[in-house]
Amino acid sequence: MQQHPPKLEELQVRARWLEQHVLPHDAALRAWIQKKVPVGLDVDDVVQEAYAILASLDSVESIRNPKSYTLRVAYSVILSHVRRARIVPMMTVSDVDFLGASDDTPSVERTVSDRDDLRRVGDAISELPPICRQVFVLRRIDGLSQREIAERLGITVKTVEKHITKAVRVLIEGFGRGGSGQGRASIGGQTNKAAADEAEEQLPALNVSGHPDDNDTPGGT
Amino acid sequence: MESVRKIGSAEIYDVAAAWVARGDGDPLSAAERQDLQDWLAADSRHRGAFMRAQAIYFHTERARDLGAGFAAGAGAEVVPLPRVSRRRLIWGATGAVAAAGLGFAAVKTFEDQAAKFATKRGEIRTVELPDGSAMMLNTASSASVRYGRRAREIELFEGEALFTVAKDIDRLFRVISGETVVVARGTKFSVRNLKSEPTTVVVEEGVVDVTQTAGSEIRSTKLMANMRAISYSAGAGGALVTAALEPAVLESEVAWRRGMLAFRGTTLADAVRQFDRYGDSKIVIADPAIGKLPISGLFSAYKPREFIETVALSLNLQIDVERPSDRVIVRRAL
Repeated sequence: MQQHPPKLEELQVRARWLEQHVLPHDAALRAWIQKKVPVGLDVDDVVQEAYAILASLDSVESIRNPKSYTLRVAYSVILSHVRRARIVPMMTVSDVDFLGASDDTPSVERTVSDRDDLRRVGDAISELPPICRQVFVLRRIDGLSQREIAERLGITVKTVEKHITKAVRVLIEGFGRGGSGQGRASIGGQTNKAAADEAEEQLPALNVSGHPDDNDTPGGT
Repeated sequence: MESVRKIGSAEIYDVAAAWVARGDGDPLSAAERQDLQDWLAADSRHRGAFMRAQAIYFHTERARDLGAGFAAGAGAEVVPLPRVSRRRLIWGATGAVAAAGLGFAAVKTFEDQAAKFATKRGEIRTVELPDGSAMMLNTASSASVRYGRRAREIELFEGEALFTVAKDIDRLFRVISGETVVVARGTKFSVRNLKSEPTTVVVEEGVVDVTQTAGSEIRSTKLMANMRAISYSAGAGGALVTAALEPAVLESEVAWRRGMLAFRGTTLADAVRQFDRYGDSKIVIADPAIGKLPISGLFSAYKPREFIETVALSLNLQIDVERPSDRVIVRRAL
């Protein structure tokens, strides 16, 4: 993979790409992994490894279908684990056949600008503890800097940072999951069940080397 | 056997969240940067967790669209965004009065939540907005879309786009191209922003307002269907010139959406430049005088060779294909 660690600035640029192209499919990704993951491997581990691979790619420009690409990356993570652990993969031949299905994902454009998605972000923020929420709203909606928030609320910058940390932590937990655990739609945009079913239909063919390697392969990898 | 992982993904997310929050504050010190680099390098899951956390954090910028009403519900002491007049919004968006309070507020609201779209050379792509409006991006174009409660705002950085705007009385549809702003409601129009040319607006249906802020002067005009406005930058005189278009000219202006290039008395040099927007045409005009020859016709934007062969035939030019570069050299026939 990556010999030289990418610069922090480059990671920010990539995170922006992930936000626009991969995050909309977070629920689908998680739900699909949930169904496929072998015993002894944690869903979050696979998600983190998948994001790490997407972060380490030299270029993402030529990825035309980020959703299928991401699912294939996740699949490769599972496969490499399976090989290391010498256990029988949960995936069967028919699964792999399934993966050859059409690649006609809804456009990212539409997903990104989904109004419901906005509402879900709002819901997630509403569920934060009061002070944490206030800090987060001042930062993210009003656009005050951490320093300005500290001055306005009469707390230290470090405390502001702690509240932001807490908010990010809660959002990570909520994203791609069942929200507050009351069976409602996840922040990622779909119910896990629906997302898994959809992902199932739209997974493209994969190769057995465990590398996402088809016409979506970005240059330089 | 692989190294045993003692730390679970939850703990990793704890650290990732803390780094995202820290990165959101004052710039990191050199020591902090090193700490973060080291932590990211230690385990691929660290990198993945950090990237996902950062992406999620970026995503919450979209919450700004929720606006003051939402913020008030959160119990924060906030100043609600004032109602901004249409005119102010226009100027705010162009940055002309970005320093003035209201304009700035409007800009700030839309800032940072833009989705960016770009096409490569030879690519044409349609972006749908949730309200049913559509933006068709021509070759080598880039634009950002900010979809807010009060306005739908497109910034065309480069290239050309056709907009089919769904009617929405409450929300302006605004396209910014350099110093030129086009405001529409339900209509169909295209905007072209090429480095070598002034911004051009062509209206196919409905009415748009074209406003230009080149230099200190502000010019504004209403553009009806079948009209074109050419907006010269301050450096090029800053004029805003409108003209009614004959159907054939209008057709040639919008032929690109079918992957075609239409020329009517266009010079050969200009025509080749247009082909080069879609891909390397590999056409080299050896003699500047040939470049000034006018040509007409409808050609596939993706078949420059076919184009130049047809032109050579009709203008009695000689073409030689150079190997191995495949360049097509156009000369006067001897």
